[in-house]
Amino acid sequence: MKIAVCSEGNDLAAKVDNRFGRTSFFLVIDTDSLDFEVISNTENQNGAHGSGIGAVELIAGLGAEAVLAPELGPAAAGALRIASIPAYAAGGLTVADAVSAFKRGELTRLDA
Amino acid sequence: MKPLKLAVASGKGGTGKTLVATNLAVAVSRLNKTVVLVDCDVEAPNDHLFFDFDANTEVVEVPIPEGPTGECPRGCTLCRDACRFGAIRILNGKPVVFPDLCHNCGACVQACTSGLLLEVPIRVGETRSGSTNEGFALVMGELDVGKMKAPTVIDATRSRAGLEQAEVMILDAPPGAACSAVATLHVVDFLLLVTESTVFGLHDLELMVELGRGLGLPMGVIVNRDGSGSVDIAAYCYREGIPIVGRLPFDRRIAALYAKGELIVNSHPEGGEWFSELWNSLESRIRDAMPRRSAV
Amino acid sequence: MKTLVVASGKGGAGKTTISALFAIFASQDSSVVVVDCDVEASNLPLALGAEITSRELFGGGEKAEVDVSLCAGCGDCLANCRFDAIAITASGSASVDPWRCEGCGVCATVCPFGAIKMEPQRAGHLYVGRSVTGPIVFGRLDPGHDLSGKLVSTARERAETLAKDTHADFILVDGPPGIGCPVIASITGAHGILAVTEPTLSGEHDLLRLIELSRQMRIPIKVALNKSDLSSFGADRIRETCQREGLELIGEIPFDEGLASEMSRLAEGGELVLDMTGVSGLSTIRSLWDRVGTWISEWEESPARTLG
Repeated sequence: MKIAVCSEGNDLAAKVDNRFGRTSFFLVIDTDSLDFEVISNTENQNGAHGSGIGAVELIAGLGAEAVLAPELGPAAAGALRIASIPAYAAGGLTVADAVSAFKRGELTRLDA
Repeated sequence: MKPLKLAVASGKGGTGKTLVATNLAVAVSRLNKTVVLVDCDVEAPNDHLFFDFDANTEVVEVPIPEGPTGECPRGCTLCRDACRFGAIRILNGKPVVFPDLCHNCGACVQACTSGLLLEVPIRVGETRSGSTNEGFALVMGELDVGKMKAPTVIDATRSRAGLEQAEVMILDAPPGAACSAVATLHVVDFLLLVTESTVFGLHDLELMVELGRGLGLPMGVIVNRDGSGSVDIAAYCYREGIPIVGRLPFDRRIAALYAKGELIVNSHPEGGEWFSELWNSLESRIRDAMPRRSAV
Repeated sequence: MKTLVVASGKGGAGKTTISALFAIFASQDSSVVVVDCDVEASNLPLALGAEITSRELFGGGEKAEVDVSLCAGCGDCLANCRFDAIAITASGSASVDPWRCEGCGVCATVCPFGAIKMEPQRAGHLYVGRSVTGPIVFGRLDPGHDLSGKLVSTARERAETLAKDTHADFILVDGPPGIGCPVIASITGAHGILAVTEPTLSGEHDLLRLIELSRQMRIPIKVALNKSDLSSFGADRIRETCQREGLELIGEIPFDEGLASEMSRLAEGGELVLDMTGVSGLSTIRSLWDRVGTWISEWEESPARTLG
């Protein structure tokens, strides 16, 4: 499946960023092949109000079916619910480790 | 005839805006002028606590977009692109509105070429208007808890107050110097700034003077709790060319009366005199500062 | 990061005094990042004698500006402006009142001559500094601008980052008065609110509104009664209110003139002397801090409880 991961850097060795709405990048990853796309999040990083909502719009538009994030503010959580995209807690891990943990079902839901 | 509009404001909360506004309204009313007291501190209105007040309530609403009323054209983002506030986004191919971010401007509805968005009113607060037991009108606004449209409620409050045929309008402003203060102070005839002689009072007075200058308002200062701090407000005012129009002493009796919701002009031996003197000090300054206008 | 907000519906109840002293006491045995979210009239950095280490421009929204050389005075802009921000001047051109302009861009869109442009505004600054208590973050909104909510959010986000980088134990937020967007932005995602009130009708009225807001946002709230001996009638009403609402009245602080002048002295650059026996307010607030500190230690860091 296709998932989005908040990332500090532009490859799988990077750490999961410690923000959702203002994360530096989203890596959109195919969990089977581990092919990925790097999406820069500058518009939301620099933007006005609603960076969390903007980030949800961004990953929803890319077809992400789930997101791995450090934590979520209430606005982002609400928008994810509307977009039907579940979020999982992955703070402190590298992107690669987070994806592995997600595939093993070890990550907890963030927005339950 | 348009009323003379006096706004009572302060950068810092708790300096005595409401104390001054309520008591001044009574004092002016007793000089046989028709007065309307306007409580623009819509997040935490307090003026009505000092009076018996038979109020007539009106709801304040703002338009919020709703829809789509049909199928959106695939890939269309016209509404989202028209919004400068990020308040309408496309999720799962449909527009989703985030009401807290919405500025109620209608840009998205205008931009939709498919006619699929409409606007519905939602409630953000209310205004209340009526007579007080002191014989003058009180108009107040109250923002609903959790809503963020304070300036909208303030505009509605001021409009409603404008319907009163009063000679003098006294506006009790919210604390601060941002959009709520601007909505209250915009186009008034005189700005009375309440301060205290502490470092914090002076610091926040400077912010308000900057705002007052930006708005082009004639200003005067009243020092409350005079004697309680060591900062020389008079020196600052002199340097800035702003008159000190009155002083209220630091007096625990004043604080105790205020705490119980009592008017100083009624319950303190010197109250009536303080506030009629304040009005005398203000009235000529305000009239001098006002441009000529035609009688209606 | 654990976050305590000191808030008050009513201005002048003593938030900043209490926040300043809490920060001072807390910094004696833990690491705290302080944020002053009263961006319209920021006083905490003054109280703590903060030295500024960085200052960033904070961008506001946009305002419409008319290019009179292109304007034909047709009035379409005025007809479409919902905010009474446009007038046709004596010279026949449209003019935008920046104090009323909402920045929505409708006028720019409808103008048949392309005479209106949206120009970005500077609205204030975000400051980071150091005080006797450690790092402090505060915003200062240019008078007359809006987006105080956004500046507050920005200040809080910066504080979160600082707190993580410095491994702080918690974040202390001095909130703005009222219950509007800057207050909402200052309490979003916080673990607890200490509502500071005073024994007056106004204090009680505004406390009730703050309590309602805290319930809407599902943030635990406790109450502290400041200047408690100002009015026994008022104090009883506050105690009754807390009981009725099922909330803990965690402290009562009698009015202390010595304390007020100590705060002024601190703000004017005086040295902090903590064991002043003459200032009874200090030891009362110290006891209050001990109880609040215990409350903070009971909080759990939970992943969904911070800014996104």
